[in-house]
Amino acid sequence: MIADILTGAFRSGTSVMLASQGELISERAGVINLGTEGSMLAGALGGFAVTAWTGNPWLGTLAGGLCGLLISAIHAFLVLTCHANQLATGLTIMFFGMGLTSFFLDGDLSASKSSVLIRYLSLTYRIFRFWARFYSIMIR
Amino acid sequence: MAGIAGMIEIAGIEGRLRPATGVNYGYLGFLAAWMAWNHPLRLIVSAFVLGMISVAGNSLEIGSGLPSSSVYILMALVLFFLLGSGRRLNK
Repeated sequence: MIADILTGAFRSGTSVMLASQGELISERAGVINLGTEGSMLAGALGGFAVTAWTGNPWLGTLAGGLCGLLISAIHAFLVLTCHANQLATGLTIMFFGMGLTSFFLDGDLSASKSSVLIRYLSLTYRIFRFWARFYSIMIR
Repeated sequence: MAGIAGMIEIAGIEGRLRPATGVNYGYLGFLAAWMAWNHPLRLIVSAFVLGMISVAGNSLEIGSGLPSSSVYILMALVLFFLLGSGRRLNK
């Protein structure tokens, strides 16, 4: 039983440790990042989608990291460029991740569904690009 | 006040106590207070807006089969734009 608890602690503690390492960097830089859960959810979504699409778990790992990067880029843009409230931005990021995962991973994701997923993802990319352009015009 | 809100939620809407009751309501309350710039009368409007978006998820689930929590995307986009426009409002 003790061995089960210890191995379970390693298994579930690794994800907490990795998320905390990322949080630690932003905390040391003076930014309170409450959107860590949103980053984790978006990374799980991207990693799962790319692994289901390509069948390569290493590409999925890379995609998970890139999704976390994108989510953190939103947070950094709002906090550093727009001087928004850090706590409110973090909570919004958290809700955004929850909405994204429940929207894209509705039911079970089979191979026939992954093309629909990719279409949705490209649509999301287009929306974000439009949004970034809109803000670069507004700030100017 | 938050305790009264929880009591009303249980006694009036749900009618039973579940572990998943009101999981995110505290976070939504924080965001509503931020949207209202800590003003009690504006808070009524912002809480109404957030509640309207949350309830829209139910009809989304009934109408198009999407899970109701995907309405958080809409809520997050609204809040992103509000957060990003904060600097312009402060000018």
